[in-house]
Amino acid sequence: MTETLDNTQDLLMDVDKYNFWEVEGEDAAGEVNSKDMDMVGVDEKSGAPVFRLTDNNDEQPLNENENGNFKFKMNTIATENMAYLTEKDKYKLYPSKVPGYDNSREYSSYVSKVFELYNDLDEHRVYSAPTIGIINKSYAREHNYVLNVAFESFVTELNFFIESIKNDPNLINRVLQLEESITILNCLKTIHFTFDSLQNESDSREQFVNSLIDWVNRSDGEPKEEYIEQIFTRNDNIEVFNTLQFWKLVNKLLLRGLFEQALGCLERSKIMDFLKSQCEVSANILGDAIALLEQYPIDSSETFREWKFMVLGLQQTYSNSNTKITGELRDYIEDTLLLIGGNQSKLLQYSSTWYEAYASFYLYYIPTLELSHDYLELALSTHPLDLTKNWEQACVNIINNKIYSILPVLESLDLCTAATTAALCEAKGILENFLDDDTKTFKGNVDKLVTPVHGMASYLLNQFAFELCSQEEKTLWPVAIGLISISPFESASVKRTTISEVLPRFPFSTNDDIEWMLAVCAKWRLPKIAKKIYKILGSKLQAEGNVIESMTNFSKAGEFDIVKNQSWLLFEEAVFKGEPLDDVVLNSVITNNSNNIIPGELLDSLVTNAMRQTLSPYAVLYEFFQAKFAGEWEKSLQLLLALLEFEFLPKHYLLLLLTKFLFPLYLNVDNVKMDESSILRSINCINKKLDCEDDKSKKMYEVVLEKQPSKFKILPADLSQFSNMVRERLSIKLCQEFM
Amino acid sequence: MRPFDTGHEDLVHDVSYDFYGRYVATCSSDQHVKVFRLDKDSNEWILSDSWRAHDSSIVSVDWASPEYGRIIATASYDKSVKIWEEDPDQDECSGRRWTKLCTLNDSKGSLYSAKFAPSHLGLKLACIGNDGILRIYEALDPSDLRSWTLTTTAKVLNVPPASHLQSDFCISWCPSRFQTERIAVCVLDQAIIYQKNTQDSKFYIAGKLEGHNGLIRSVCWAPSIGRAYQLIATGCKDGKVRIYKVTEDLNNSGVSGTVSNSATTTNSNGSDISTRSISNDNTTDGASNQREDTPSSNNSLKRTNNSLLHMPLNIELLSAHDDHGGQEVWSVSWNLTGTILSSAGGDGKVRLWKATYSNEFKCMSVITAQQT
Repeated sequence: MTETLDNTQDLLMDVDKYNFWEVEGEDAAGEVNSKDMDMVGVDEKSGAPVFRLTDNNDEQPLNENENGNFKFKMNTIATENMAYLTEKDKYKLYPSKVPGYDNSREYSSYVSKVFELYNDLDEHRVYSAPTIGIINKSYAREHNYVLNVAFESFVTELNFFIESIKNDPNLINRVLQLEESITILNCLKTIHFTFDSLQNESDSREQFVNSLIDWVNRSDGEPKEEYIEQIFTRNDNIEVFNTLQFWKLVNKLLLRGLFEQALGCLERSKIMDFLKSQCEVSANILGDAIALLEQYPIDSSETFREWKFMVLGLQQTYSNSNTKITGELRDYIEDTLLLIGGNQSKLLQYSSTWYEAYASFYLYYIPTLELSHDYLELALSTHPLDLTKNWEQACVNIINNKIYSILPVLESLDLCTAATTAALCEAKGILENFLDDDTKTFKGNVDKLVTPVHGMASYLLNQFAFELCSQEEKTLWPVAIGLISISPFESASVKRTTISEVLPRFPFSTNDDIEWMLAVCAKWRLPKIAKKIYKILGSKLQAEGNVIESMTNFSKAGEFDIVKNQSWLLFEEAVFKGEPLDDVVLNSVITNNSNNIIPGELLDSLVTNAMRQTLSPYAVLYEFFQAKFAGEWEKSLQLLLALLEFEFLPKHYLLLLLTKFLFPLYLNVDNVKMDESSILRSINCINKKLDCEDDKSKKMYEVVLEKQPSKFKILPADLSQFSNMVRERLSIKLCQEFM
Repeated sequence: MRPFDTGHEDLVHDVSYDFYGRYVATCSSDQHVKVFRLDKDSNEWILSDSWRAHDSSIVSVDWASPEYGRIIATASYDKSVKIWEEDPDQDECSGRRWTKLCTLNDSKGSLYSAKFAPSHLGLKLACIGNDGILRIYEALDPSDLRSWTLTTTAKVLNVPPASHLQSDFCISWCPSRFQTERIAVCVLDQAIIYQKNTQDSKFYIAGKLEGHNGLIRSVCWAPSIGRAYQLIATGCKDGKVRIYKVTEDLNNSGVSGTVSNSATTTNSNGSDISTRSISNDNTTDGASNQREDTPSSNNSLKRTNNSLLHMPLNIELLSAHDDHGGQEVWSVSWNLTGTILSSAGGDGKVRLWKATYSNEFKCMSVITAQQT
C-alpha cells in the first residue's frame, strides 16, 4: 500500500462511484414509478401495484370499501386521463396519469441520447450470419465491436440518467427501478458485450474484469459502511485481526474484486505491525500476498497464470512453514491465501451470495467464460438465488443465455431500457431463435405485425415508440417516428401504415412542427395524411379568423368546396358591409399587390390556383367598390353586371346583389342612367336566375330585410314582390332610355 | 394533479377528450354541457364554457375530428342529438361560445350514445337509444355543417325494452383507416358488429361479440396501429371485462347476400325478451339475480342466426377478466395506440391492462378511488 488509510471511509468501496441506492426496509422489486401517485399496496387478484387516484387520501371520492358507478377515460396524453363518478353529489373530475409513465425532462434527454446511439448503428442494427459465399470474418468482428461500444455507451447513458434524478425525493422508486435495470445491463454487458471485440485480448480481459466487478458491487452495494465500522469499533481488548468478522470482511472484499478496500482493511487493522513483532514468517508471507494483490493482473490471462502460480507457491510455503502464531489467526491467513489461490471450497465458503461466488471464480480460479455455466451451477448450489429480487433471476438467465426471459423484466422496469437492450441483443444475434426447430415456422402468433413474427426486439421498439407518442412532450415524437422508421424488422409498407396512423396526432404548435410533419409525409409518401394535416390546419386557422391562411391550407388539402364556400362567405360579408373587407392579406391577394406588410414571396406561398379562381368574384366586387367610391357609375355598373352574369353565381347571391346594389343604386334612383344594353342584360339575368321559390334566396332576403336600416326601408316584405318591383323598375328604366 | 369540481349540479354521465387531449367535455343530468381546457402553464383544467344544451339528461358527448372544425355532439334522454360548433369570437365562460348547428331528433326513444365516426369516413355520426335503432347521420356538404342527412338506419332491437327495466346501449366505431367501415353496437346484453358493404353502401351484421351475461355498459374499439387484427373491449354488468380479437375471414372476404336482412331483428316483444332471459338462466348466484331486472335481446337476435351464417369476421374472445370484485364494469377505454386498456368498475378501481409479448392481457396497475 502506498498510502495510509486511517478511517473507515477510506476503506470502503466508493459508494458514489457505484451509485447504489437502497431504501431501508423496502424491496425495490416490482415497484413502479410513483412520482405523482402514491402506491398504496399490491392488488390481491393480479399482484399489480395499487395507486391512489389522488395525492391526498381525504380527497378520494369513495370511502373505504364503498362502491360506486365509477368510470375512467383514457386520453391521447398518457399523463392526463380522467376518472369520474356517475353518482349523486359526486361531480368532480379526477385527472390521473398512467402509472409508470416518466415525463421528466431528464427522461426525454435519456431517450434522445439512446435513440441517437441506436440510430448511429446504421447497418449494424441487423444481425446477419452469412452461411454462403465469402464469409467476411473481419466484418463480424467489427460488427461485434460496434455493438459492444454501443452497449457500453448505452449503460453510460443510463448511468447519467440515474445520476440526474437520484437526488429527487419524488423519484426514489423510479431510481430503484433504474438501478435494478442497470444491474441487469451490467451483467449482460459483462457476459455478452465484452469479449468479442476487435481489440486485443488484454483489453478485453481488463474490460471484462472491470465490468464483472462493477456488476457485482453495484448490484447490492455490500458491504455496508456501518458494518465495516462496527467490525473496527470494538469494546474489548481483542485486536480486530483476531476476529472472524474481520477476515470475513477482508475475504468478502477480495471476492468482490475490491482489492484496494481489502488491503486498506488490512492496513487499518495494523496486522502487519503485529506480525512483524510476533512472527516474521507470517509477516513476510502476508506482506508478499499484499504485494501480489496490489498487482492483480487485470489485463492478461498469461500474467494471471504467473500470478496465480506465485500465490499458490506462497500458500504452499505458508502451509509448510512453522510459524510463531498459531490457532485461529494462522487459519485466517491461510484461508485468505487459499481464497486468492482459487480454492473452490474457500471461495464458496466466504461468499455470501451466488454472484459473489460466481465472480470470485473468474477472479481467482480460471478466468474463462467457457466455464461460466459450471461456475454458476457451483455458486447456486451453495447460495440459491433470492427470488424476491427480479435482477437476480434475470442475471442467472443472462449467464444461461436465456436473453428473451430478461426482456419482460426490463420492460416492467423501464420500456426505453428494455427496448434498447432487446434491439442491441437482436443485432448481436444473442436472442434465442424464435423459429421452431422442426417445422421452421414461427413459434409465436403469426398475425401480429409488430410482435412474434418480427421478434421481441421489434415488439419492444414499437411499444416504446407508441409510448412516446402518448407523451405530452412533443420533442420525443421525432424519436418515436425515428424508431418506427429505422426499425430493421418491419417492411416499409408496415412502417408507412403505422406512421400514417400515428402522425396526425402530433400536437403541433409551431410552423417548424408543421414542416416536420409534412416532411415525414413527403418522406413516407403519405399524401392523404398530408391532406388531413392541411385540413386540420385549415379548420384551426378558420376558427382563429385567419381566413386566407385557412383557405390556403384547405386548397392544399384538396377541399375545394370549402375554399369555394369560404370565398363566397367573404363575398357575402363584403356585400353586406357595402365596402371591401378590412383584410390586408385578402386585398393584397386579390389585387396581386405585395407591400411592406405582405411581401411578394409570402403572397405567392399563400395564394393557390383554387383561391385565384374562387376569389375572382370577390376581386370583381372589390373593383366595383373602387369604381363606386370614385363615382365611376358606368364602370361600377358594368362590374356589377359582370357579377350578375357570372355563370356560377349562386341564386341567393344574385338576389343579394340586386337588393344591395342594383336596386338601390341604379333602379330606385331616377337620376342614375342605365343604357339599354345594361338594362337588357339585367333583365336577362333576372329572368334566368332570380328564383322566388329558392329556399336559400328566401332566407337571404329575410336577412337583407333584417339588416335594412329602419330609416331607409325601401324593400317590400316579400321576395316575389321585390321581384316584381325590380322588373317594374327595369321597365321604367328601359322606357326612360328609349324616350 | 388535483381533482376539480365540474360545477355540474346533477349526475355526470360522460366525459370526452378532443383529438389532441387538451380539451375535455362533460355532460350531465343537469342538462348542461361543460368544456374544460388544459392550461399549459399551470397544467390545470380551466372551464372554457358551460351551457344548457338539452331539455333532459345529457348522457353522451363526443368530439369530431379537428379537420372538421371544433365540433361536439351531445345525446340526451330528450330523444335528440345536437351538434355544436365553437365560436372563438365569443368569450370563454360566456355560455355563448358554442353555437348549435343542428338538432337530430328522429329517435323515438331516449338516446344513450352518440359517436362521431373516424375522420377518414367523413363527418359522420352514429347514435343509438331506447328505440333500438342505430342511426347514422352524415354532413354531406363539408361547407355546410348545419345540414345533416340520415343515411343509415338499422333496427338492432325489434322491440324497445320495457321502460321499467334497466337498459343500456353503447356504440364504438372501428378507428382503423385500413379497414372496412365498421361499428360495434351494444344493445342490452348483445354486442353486434355492423359492417358497410362497399358494393351497396348498406350496413350488415358482420359478427357478434358473444358471452355477455348482463347489460353491456361500455364498448371500445381499439386503435390498431401496427396490428393486423382488431381488438374490442367490453365492460359488462356481469362484472367482466372482455377483450375480443377480430380478424377478417379470408375464406369469406365479401359480405354475402344472405345477410342482407340481418340488420333488423324479428318480431318478438319486450316482455317476451325479458322472460326468456330469466328462464334461460338456471344459476342462482348473485350474477343471475342481478340480471333479473335486465331485458335480454338474446331471443330476438337468435332468430337472425340464419343470417349470421356468413359473417365475414372471425371473432375470438381473447380473455375475460372478473377482477372488479363481481361489481359492474362501468367503462372500458383504450389509449391512443391501443396498447393499454383501462377498465373502471363498481369496486371503485381502474385497472390498466396491457398485452404481453405472448398476447395475454395482464393487469399492470390499479388505481383506486377508495380511501385507504
